[in-house]
Amino acid sequence: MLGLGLILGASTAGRLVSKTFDLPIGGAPLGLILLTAVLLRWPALHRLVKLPAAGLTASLGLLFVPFVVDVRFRWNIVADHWLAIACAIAVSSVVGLTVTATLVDRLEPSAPQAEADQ
Amino acid sequence: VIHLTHLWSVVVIAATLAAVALRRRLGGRAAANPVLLASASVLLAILVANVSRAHFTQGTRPLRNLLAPATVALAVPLAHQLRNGGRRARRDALAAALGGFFVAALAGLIGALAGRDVAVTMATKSVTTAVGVPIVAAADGPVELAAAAIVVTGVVTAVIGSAVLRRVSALVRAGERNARAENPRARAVAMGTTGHAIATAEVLRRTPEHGGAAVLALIVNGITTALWLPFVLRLLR
Repeated sequence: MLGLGLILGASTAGRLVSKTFDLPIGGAPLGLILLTAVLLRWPALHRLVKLPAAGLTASLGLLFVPFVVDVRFRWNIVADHWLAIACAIAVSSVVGLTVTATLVDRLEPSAPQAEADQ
Repeated sequence: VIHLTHLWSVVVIAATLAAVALRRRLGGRAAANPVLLASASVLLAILVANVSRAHFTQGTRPLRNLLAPATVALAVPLAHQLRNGGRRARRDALAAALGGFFVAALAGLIGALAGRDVAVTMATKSVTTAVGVPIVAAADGPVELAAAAIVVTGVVTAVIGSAVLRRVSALVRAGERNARAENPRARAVAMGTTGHAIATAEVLRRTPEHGGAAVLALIVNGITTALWLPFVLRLLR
Protein backbone atom coordinates (compact mmCIF):
# COMPACT_ATOMS: atom_id res chain seq x y z
CA MET A 1 0.00 0.00 0.00
CA LEU A 2 2.82 2.37 0.93
CA GLY A 3 4.65 1.39 -2.27
CA LEU A 4 1.63 2.22 -4.44
CA GLY A 5 1.39 5.53 -2.55
CA LEU A 6 5.02 6.30 -3.43
CA ILE A 7 4.42 5.62 -7.14
CA LEU A 8 1.21 7.69 -7.25
CA GLY A 9 2.93 10.39 -5.18
CA ALA A 10 5.85 10.62 -7.61
CA SER A 11 3.40 10.67 -10.53
CA THR A 12 1.38 13.49 -8.92
CA ALA A 13 4.52 15.45 -8.03
CA GLY A 14 5.72 15.16 -11.64
CA ARG A 15 2.39 16.43 -12.94
CA LEU A 16 2.36 19.26 -10.43
CA VAL A 17 5.84 20.45 -11.48
CA SER A 18 4.95 20.12 -15.18
CA LYS A 19 1.73 22.15 -14.79
CA THR A 20 3.06 24.74 -12.31
CA PHE A 21 6.01 25.74 -14.47
CA ASP A 22 4.07 25.14 -17.71
CA LEU A 23 6.82 22.80 -18.97
CA PRO A 24 6.57 21.04 -22.35
CA ILE A 25 7.78 17.91 -20.49
CA GLY A 26 4.94 15.67 -19.30
CA GLY A 27 4.39 14.69 -15.68
CA ALA A 28 5.27 11.02 -16.28
CA PRO A 29 8.97 11.45 -17.19
CA LEU A 30 9.44 13.93 -14.31
CA GLY A 31 7.79 11.51 -11.85
CA LEU A 32 9.97 8.73 -13.26
CA ILE A 33 13.15 10.75 -12.66
CA LEU A 34 11.98 11.67 -9.15
CA LEU A 35 11.15 8.10 -8.14
CA THR A 36 14.45 6.81 -9.59
CA ALA A 37 16.36 9.39 -7.54
CA VAL A 38 14.42 8.45 -4.38
CA LEU A 39 15.09 4.72 -4.94
CA LEU A 40 18.82 5.29 -5.55
CA ARG A 41 19.05 7.46 -2.42
CA TRP A 42 17.06 5.08 -0.18
CA PRO A 43 17.54 1.51 -1.56
CA ALA A 44 15.48 0.07 1.31
CA LEU A 45 12.33 1.45 -0.34
CA HIS A 46 12.83 -0.94 -3.26
CA ARG A 47 11.15 -3.73 -1.28
CA LEU A 48 7.98 -1.61 -0.88
CA VAL A 49 7.55 -0.51 -4.50
CA LYS A 50 8.61 -3.77 -6.17
CA LEU A 51 5.22 -5.49 -6.16
CA PRO A 52 2.89 -2.60 -7.16
CA ALA A 53 5.44 -1.52 -9.83
CA ALA A 54 5.52 -5.00 -11.34
CA GLY A 55 1.70 -5.03 -11.54
CA LEU A 56 1.57 -1.63 -13.25
CA THR A 57 4.39 -2.20 -15.75
CA ALA A 58 3.06 -5.65 -16.70
CA SER A 59 -0.14 -4.02 -18.02
CA LEU A 60 1.64 -1.13 -19.78
CA GLY A 61 0.77 -2.49 -23.25
CA LEU A 62 -2.93 -2.68 -22.41
CA LEU A 63 -2.91 0.98 -21.34
CA PHE A 64 -1.65 2.05 -24.79
CA VAL A 65 -4.72 0.67 -26.57
CA PRO A 66 -7.22 3.55 -25.93
CA PHE A 67 -4.66 6.11 -27.14
CA VAL A 68 -3.97 4.12 -30.33
CA VAL A 69 -7.69 3.77 -31.07
CA ASP A 70 -8.00 7.58 -30.86
CA VAL A 71 -6.33 7.74 -34.28
CA ARG A 72 -9.79 6.95 -35.70
CA PHE A 73 -10.78 10.53 -34.77
CA ARG A 74 -7.85 11.95 -36.77
CA TRP A 75 -7.88 9.58 -39.71
CA ASN A 76 -7.49 12.34 -42.35
CA ILE A 77 -3.83 13.00 -41.46
CA VAL A 78 -2.99 9.30 -41.91
CA ALA A 79 -4.85 9.17 -45.24
CA ASP A 80 -3.00 12.27 -46.48
CA HIS A 81 0.53 11.40 -45.37
CA TRP A 82 0.72 7.61 -45.02
CA LEU A 83 3.70 7.29 -47.36
CA ALA A 84 5.90 9.77 -45.47
CA ILE A 85 4.84 8.18 -42.16
CA ALA A 86 5.66 4.66 -43.37
CA CYS A 87 9.04 5.77 -44.76
CA ALA A 88 9.96 7.65 -41.57
CA ILE A 89 9.11 4.65 -39.39
CA ALA A 90 10.81 2.03 -41.60
CA VAL A 91 14.02 3.94 -42.40
CA SER A 92 14.58 5.36 -38.91
CA SER A 93 13.93 1.98 -37.27
CA VAL A 94 16.45 0.09 -39.42
CA VAL A 95 19.12 2.82 -39.22
CA GLY A 96 18.42 3.51 -35.53
CA LEU A 97 18.77 -0.15 -34.56
CA THR A 98 22.08 -0.36 -36.42
CA VAL A 99 23.51 2.86 -35.00
CA THR A 100 22.53 2.06 -31.39
CA ALA A 101 23.86 -1.53 -31.50
CA THR A 102 27.11 -0.28 -33.03
CA LEU A 103 27.42 2.37 -30.29
CA VAL A 104 27.05 -0.28 -27.56
CA ASP A 105 29.72 -2.39 -29.27
CA ARG A 106 32.17 0.47 -29.69
CA LEU A 107 31.74 1.77 -26.14
CA GLU A 108 32.65 -1.67 -24.80
CA PRO A 109 36.27 -1.50 -23.56
CA SER A 110 36.81 -5.26 -23.69
CA ALA A 111 35.42 -5.70 -27.22
CA PRO A 112 37.31 -8.09 -29.53
CA GLN A 113 38.26 -4.97 -31.50
CA ALA A 114 40.30 -3.67 -28.56
CA GLU A 115 42.20 -6.94 -28.36
CA ALA A 116 42.79 -6.92 -32.11
CA ASP A 117 44.28 -3.43 -31.88
CA GLN A 118 46.98 -4.51 -29.47
CA VAL B 1 -31.28 3.97 -21.32
CA ILE B 2 -28.70 2.45 -18.98
CA HIS B 3 -25.34 4.19 -19.10
CA LEU B 4 -22.49 1.70 -18.77
CA THR B 5 -19.86 4.26 -17.86
CA HIS B 6 -16.75 2.12 -18.18
CA LEU B 7 -17.97 -0.37 -20.76
CA TRP B 8 -15.19 0.52 -23.21
CA SER B 9 -12.49 -0.16 -20.60
CA VAL B 10 -13.87 -3.67 -20.25
CA VAL B 11 -13.95 -4.05 -24.05
CA VAL B 12 -10.29 -2.96 -24.29
CA ILE B 13 -9.23 -5.42 -21.57
CA ALA B 14 -11.20 -8.27 -23.17
CA ALA B 15 -9.71 -7.48 -26.60
CA THR B 16 -6.17 -7.46 -25.16
CA LEU B 17 -6.68 -10.78 -23.35
CA ALA B 18 -8.07 -12.31 -26.55
CA ALA B 19 -5.08 -10.95 -28.52
CA VAL B 20 -2.61 -12.45 -26.02
CA ALA B 21 -4.38 -15.83 -26.30
CA LEU B 22 -4.37 -15.60 -30.11
CA ARG B 23 -0.63 -14.93 -30.23
CA ARG B 24 -0.04 -18.00 -28.06
CA ARG B 25 -2.13 -20.00 -30.54
CA LEU B 26 -0.01 -18.66 -33.41
CA GLY B 27 3.19 -19.88 -31.78
CA GLY B 28 4.24 -16.52 -30.32
CA ARG B 29 4.98 -14.65 -33.55
CA ALA B 30 6.23 -11.09 -32.94
CA ALA B 31 3.99 -9.78 -35.75
CA ALA B 32 0.92 -10.96 -33.84
CA ASN B 33 1.52 -8.21 -31.28
CA PRO B 34 -1.29 -8.04 -28.68
CA VAL B 35 -1.34 -4.21 -28.54
CA LEU B 36 -1.65 -4.03 -32.33
CA LEU B 37 -4.31 -6.77 -32.56
CA ALA B 38 -6.32 -5.36 -29.64
CA SER B 39 -6.17 -1.81 -31.05
CA ALA B 40 -7.30 -2.99 -34.47
CA SER B 41 -10.25 -4.92 -33.07
CA VAL B 42 -11.38 -2.10 -30.72
CA LEU B 43 -11.05 0.34 -33.63
CA LEU B 44 -13.28 -1.90 -35.71
CA ALA B 45 -15.76 -2.13 -32.81
CA ILE B 46 -16.09 1.65 -32.39
CA LEU B 47 -16.53 2.03 -36.16
CA VAL B 48 -19.28 -0.58 -36.25
CA ALA B 49 -20.98 0.75 -33.11
CA ASN B 50 -20.50 4.33 -34.35
CA VAL B 51 -19.23 5.49 -30.97
CA SER B 52 -18.59 9.21 -30.43
CA ARG B 53 -15.21 10.47 -29.33
CA ALA B 54 -16.58 11.84 -26.02
CA HIS B 55 -18.22 8.51 -25.22
CA PHE B 56 -15.09 6.49 -26.01
CA THR B 57 -12.84 8.83 -24.01
CA GLN B 58 -15.20 8.69 -21.02
CA GLY B 59 -15.48 4.91 -21.25
CA THR B 60 -11.72 4.34 -21.29
CA ARG B 61 -10.96 6.94 -18.59
CA PRO B 62 -9.84 4.41 -15.92
CA LEU B 63 -7.24 2.91 -18.29
CA ARG B 64 -6.07 6.33 -19.51
CA ASN B 65 -5.54 7.51 -15.94
CA LEU B 66 -3.29 4.54 -15.17
CA LEU B 67 -0.79 5.23 -17.97
CA ALA B 68 1.20 7.91 -16.10
CA PRO B 69 1.62 5.89 -12.84
CA ALA B 70 2.52 2.77 -14.89
CA THR B 71 5.24 4.76 -16.68
CA VAL B 72 6.52 6.20 -13.37
CA ALA B 73 6.72 2.60 -12.08
CA LEU B 74 9.48 1.98 -14.66
CA ALA B 75 11.71 3.78 -12.12
CA VAL B 76 11.91 0.49 -10.19
CA PRO B 77 13.69 -1.58 -12.90
CA LEU B 78 15.75 1.50 -13.87
CA ALA B 79 17.06 2.04 -10.33
CA HIS B 80 17.74 -1.69 -10.04
CA GLN B 81 19.72 -1.73 -13.30
CA LEU B 82 21.71 1.41 -12.44
CA ARG B 83 22.57 0.07 -8.98
CA ASN B 84 23.63 -3.40 -10.12
CA GLY B 85 24.82 -2.77 -13.67
CA GLY B 86 27.74 -0.53 -12.71
CA ARG B 87 29.84 1.01 -15.49
CA ARG B 88 28.33 -1.21 -18.15
CA ALA B 89 24.84 0.17 -17.38
CA ARG B 90 26.16 3.71 -17.65
CA ARG B 91 27.77 2.97 -21.03
CA ASP B 92 24.54 1.39 -22.28
CA ALA B 93 22.64 4.47 -21.07
CA LEU B 94 24.97 6.71 -23.10
CA ALA B 95 24.45 4.56 -26.22
CA ALA B 96 20.65 4.70 -25.73
CA ALA B 97 20.69 8.49 -25.32
CA LEU B 98 22.83 9.04 -28.45
CA GLY B 99 20.99 6.40 -30.49
CA GLY B 100 17.63 7.88 -29.42
CA PHE B 101 18.76 11.34 -30.50
CA PHE B 102 19.76 9.96 -33.89
CA VAL B 103 16.46 8.08 -34.43
CA ALA B 104 14.37 11.13 -33.47
CA ALA B 105 16.34 13.47 -35.73
CA LEU B 106 16.25 11.13 -38.73
CA ALA B 107 12.54 10.30 -38.40
CA GLY B 108 11.70 13.98 -37.81
CA LEU B 109 13.59 15.02 -40.95
CA ILE B 110 11.84 12.40 -43.12
CA GLY B 111 8.48 13.36 -41.58
CA ALA B 112 9.20 17.03 -42.33
CA LEU B 113 8.65 16.20 -46.03
CA ALA B 114 4.94 15.92 -45.12
CA GLY B 115 4.81 19.09 -43.02
CA ARG B 116 5.24 20.15 -39.42
CA ASP B 117 2.53 17.97 -37.82
CA VAL B 118 3.97 14.76 -39.26
CA ALA B 119 7.54 15.86 -38.39
CA VAL B 120 6.60 16.40 -34.73
CA THR B 121 4.95 12.98 -34.40
CA MET B 122 7.74 11.14 -36.24
CA ALA B 123 10.40 12.71 -33.98
CA THR B 124 8.61 11.34 -30.89
CA LYS B 125 7.60 7.91 -32.20
CA SER B 126 10.50 5.98 -30.61
CA VAL B 127 9.67 6.98 -27.02
CA THR B 128 7.03 5.30 -24.91
CA THR B 129 3.45 6.65 -25.10
CA ALA B 130 3.24 8.45 -21.75
CA VAL B 131 6.43 10.34 -22.61
CA GLY B 132 5.82 10.95 -26.33
CA VAL B 133 2.19 12.06 -26.25
CA PRO B 134 2.78 15.04 -23.85
CA ILE B 135 5.71 16.20 -26.05
CA VAL B 136 3.44 16.24 -29.11
CA ALA B 137 0.61 17.89 -27.10
CA ALA B 138 2.95 20.66 -25.90
CA ALA B 139 3.98 21.31 -29.52
CA ASP B 140 0.28 21.45 -30.60
CA GLY B 141 0.83 18.37 -32.78
CA PRO B 142 -1.71 15.62 -33.56
CA VAL B 143 -1.60 13.49 -30.38
CA GLU B 144 -3.92 10.84 -31.86
CA LEU B 145 -1.42 10.14 -34.64
CA ALA B 146 1.48 10.18 -32.16
CA ALA B 147 0.10 7.30 -30.08
CA ALA B 148 -0.60 5.18 -33.16
CA ALA B 149 2.83 5.91 -34.70
CA ILE B 150 4.52 5.00 -31.40
CA VAL B 151 2.82 1.60 -31.25
CA VAL B 152 3.42 0.82 -34.95
CA THR B 153 7.12 1.69 -34.47
CA GLY B 154 7.32 -0.60 -31.45
CA VAL B 155 5.76 -3.48 -33.37
CA VAL B 156 7.95 -2.92 -36.47
CA THR B 157 11.07 -2.87 -34.28
CA ALA B 158 9.98 -5.99 -32.40
CA VAL B 159 9.37 -7.85 -35.68
CA ILE B 160 12.44 -6.78 -37.69
CA GLY B 161 14.90 -6.00 -34.85
CA SER B 162 16.71 -9.31 -34.48
CA ALA B 163 16.86 -10.01 -38.21
CA VAL B 164 18.22 -6.54 -39.08
CA LEU B 165 20.90 -6.65 -36.40
CA ARG B 166 21.98 -10.19 -37.29
CA ARG B 167 22.39 -9.15 -40.93
CA VAL B 168 24.30 -6.00 -39.99
CA SER B 169 26.68 -7.85 -37.73
CA ALA B 170 27.27 -10.44 -40.49
CA LEU B 171 28.15 -7.58 -42.86
CA VAL B 172 30.49 -6.01 -40.31
CA ARG B 173 32.19 -9.33 -39.69
CA ALA B 174 32.65 -9.92 -43.43
CA GLY B 175 34.32 -6.49 -43.74
CA GLU B 176 36.78 -6.99 -40.89
CA ARG B 177 39.66 -9.37 -40.71
CA ASN B 178 39.15 -10.04 -37.03
CA ALA B 179 35.73 -11.50 -36.43
CA ARG B 180 33.55 -9.48 -34.04
CA ALA B 181 31.46 -11.57 -31.71
CA GLU B 182 27.71 -11.02 -31.89
CA ASN B 183 26.56 -9.05 -28.88
CA PRO B 184 23.05 -9.90 -27.66
CA ARG B 185 23.18 -7.09 -25.09
CA ALA B 186 23.82 -4.55 -27.89
CA ARG B 187 20.77 -5.95 -29.66
CA ALA B 188 18.67 -5.52 -26.50
CA VAL B 189 19.78 -1.90 -26.02
CA ALA B 190 19.10 -1.12 -29.69
CA MET B 191 15.61 -2.63 -29.51
CA GLY B 192 14.73 -0.78 -26.29
CA THR B 193 15.95 2.52 -27.76
CA THR B 194 14.20 2.25 -31.14
CA GLY B 195 11.08 0.29 -30.17
CA HIS B 196 10.43 1.38 -26.53
CA ALA B 197 8.12 -0.77 -24.33
CA ILE B 198 6.78 -3.00 -27.12
CA ALA B 199 10.18 -4.09 -28.45
CA THR B 200 11.39 -4.41 -24.84
CA ALA B 201 8.57 -6.85 -24.15
CA GLU B 202 9.83 -8.87 -27.14
CA VAL B 203 13.40 -8.89 -25.76
CA LEU B 204 12.06 -10.03 -22.37
CA ARG B 205 10.17 -12.86 -24.08
CA ARG B 206 13.11 -14.07 -26.22
CA THR B 207 16.21 -13.33 -24.11
CA PRO B 208 15.06 -12.56 -20.55
CA GLU B 209 18.68 -12.29 -19.34
CA HIS B 210 19.10 -9.12 -21.44
CA GLY B 211 15.69 -7.64 -20.55
CA GLY B 212 17.28 -5.29 -18.01
CA ALA B 213 19.48 -3.70 -20.71
CA ALA B 214 16.42 -3.12 -22.96
CA VAL B 215 14.42 -1.63 -20.07
CA LEU B 216 17.33 0.69 -19.25
CA ALA B 217 17.53 1.79 -22.91
CA LEU B 218 13.79 2.44 -23.21
CA ILE B 219 13.71 4.58 -20.07
CA VAL B 220 16.92 6.50 -20.77
CA ASN B 221 15.79 7.30 -24.33
CA GLY B 222 12.37 8.39 -22.98
CA ILE B 223 13.85 10.67 -20.33
CA THR B 224 16.56 12.25 -22.52
CA THR B 225 14.15 12.79 -25.43
CA ALA B 226 11.62 14.37 -23.02
CA LEU B 227 14.38 16.75 -21.92
CA TRP B 228 15.72 17.96 -25.29
CA LEU B 229 13.01 17.50 -27.95
CA PRO B 230 10.37 19.93 -26.54
CA PHE B 231 12.88 22.76 -26.66
CA VAL B 232 13.90 22.00 -30.25
CA LEU B 233 10.22 21.88 -31.25
CA ARG B 234 9.61 25.21 -29.50
CA LEU B 235 12.39 26.79 -31.55
CA LEU B 236 10.90 25.42 -34.78
CA ARG B 237 7.42 26.76 -34.07
